[in-house]
Amino acid sequence: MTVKITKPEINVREKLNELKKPTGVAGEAMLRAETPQEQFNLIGAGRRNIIINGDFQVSQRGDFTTASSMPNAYKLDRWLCDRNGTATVQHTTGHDIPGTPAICKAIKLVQTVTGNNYLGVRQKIENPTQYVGRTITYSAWVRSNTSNARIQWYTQGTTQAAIGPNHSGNGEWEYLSFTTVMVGNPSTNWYVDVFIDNGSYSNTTITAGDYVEATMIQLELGNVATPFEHRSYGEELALCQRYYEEITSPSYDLFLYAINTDNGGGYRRASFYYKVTKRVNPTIAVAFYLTPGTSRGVNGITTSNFDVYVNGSSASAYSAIEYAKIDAEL
Amino acid sequence: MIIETVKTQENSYFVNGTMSVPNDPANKDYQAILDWINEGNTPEGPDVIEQDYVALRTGEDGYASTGDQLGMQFDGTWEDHVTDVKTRFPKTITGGTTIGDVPQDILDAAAEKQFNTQATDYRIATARIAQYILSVGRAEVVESQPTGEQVWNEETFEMDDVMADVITQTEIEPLEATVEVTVYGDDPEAEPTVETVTNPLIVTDVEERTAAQAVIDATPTEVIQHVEA
Repeated sequence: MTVKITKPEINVREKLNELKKPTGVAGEAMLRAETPQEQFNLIGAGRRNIIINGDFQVSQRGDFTTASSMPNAYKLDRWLCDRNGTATVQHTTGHDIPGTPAICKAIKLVQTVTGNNYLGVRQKIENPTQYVGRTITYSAWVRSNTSNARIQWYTQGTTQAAIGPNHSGNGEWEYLSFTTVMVGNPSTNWYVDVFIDNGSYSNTTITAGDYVEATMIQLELGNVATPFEHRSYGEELALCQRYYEEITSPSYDLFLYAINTDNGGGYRRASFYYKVTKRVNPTIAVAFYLTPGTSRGVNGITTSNFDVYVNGSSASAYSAIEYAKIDAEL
Repeated sequence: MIIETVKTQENSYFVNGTMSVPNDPANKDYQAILDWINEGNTPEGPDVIEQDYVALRTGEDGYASTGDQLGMQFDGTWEDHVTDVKTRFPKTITGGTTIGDVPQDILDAAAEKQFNTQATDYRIATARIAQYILSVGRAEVVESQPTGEQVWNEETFEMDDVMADVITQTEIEPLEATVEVTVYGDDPEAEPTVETVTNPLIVTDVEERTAAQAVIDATPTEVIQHVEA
């Protein structure tokens, strides 16, 4: 006996069309990824920004909201001001940049005397050898009135200068980015810069009034400049404090009582612990109530604490400090 | 940081009377002190505190405890004990503070840093000098090298390498000594003029070679021997 079975007709073409999801280019790249790690890298998941305080939230060294004379020194945390002319530095705020909180802050450098100079800010990156051979993308929002303002980086040791794009000089915020592979062997430092110069790390004519302003500076692995990674103030502060920290006691009280612990041997010492362990044994700058010297000073400096000492056993042998500046910067 | 004074302290250096820099090569200010020494400056040695006779007589090596002295009085040795202490620590010891020697380790560290810096500068300078002179150019160098093939030599009854001429260094023509530059005057109506000037690439080459030669000439013999060894 023959049994006839009928099945509903299937339109194979329609079924294939149903499989075409609206994935787009990025979605297809995700589908093509062969490992979760590849997908992780594609979407830029995890902590990306190698730069610390890239949006200039942290300023432990003081209030620089008013333009002030710019030395070759650290002002806003982790950013070394670098110039060989005369300039001012200012911590600016309230910038309206796409994708940025309204409180967005920036650093602004203004040349005050025309000269053949360079002018910029620099962040020194720790342990650069770990990035050798890796593809690195550097991005930043920059505003300037000169087309000699640019983003760039270079490594010491086997020198590599990676010169990025320059600003148009139209006075508007512009998003600059470039990608480079780190080659060579940076034995010491990796300098990540926003500079006004001649485009090869040398002087150029900078007219009085020329300025460069920068924020949301990001350095990341990979060949894509992803959106700036906003970290909370607390996170940025803790990251900065690996390199610099201040302890203040305007009325001297904290240190006065702490010092009155006789440690024997004619010396009285008090240990002060940092909030964050330092990169190296730091430099300690203190403001003593009495002149430091043989009878009082600082010693026992480690990456976690330092001692204040006073020599003498009498009740008058004390000291006090108004503040301590703990500097382990590169 | 501009360093003006450096005072040696216990395991640190007191700079400009305001900051204590630890004896740690990874500290940037410690490295700045080494540079400061290499510029011809000398740190001040540590304070050496010498106790006066009062401190010495009442210290560990001075008078015995009250109980022990009472025992000495009973034994009749107390006067001898007091005399001994006073003899060892006479009133002429007034104490004070003197300046000790600068620790040799920081002087050695500064010398080592200078040596390494000079060696690095010498390597860079010699590499720069080794580059061809732009105004002279570079001659072609041809070497006869084995091709990897061999043929039978009927005279020597041995296999001989087949040789071929290989260019191991390509020729580079010297740059033109001068170039013409169009110069525009302040008057926009005026015709620009053409001036002949020394090729700026050659000018830069000469400047860089002169600077490199100056570095080589200033490098101490022992540094050169170390690098070339």
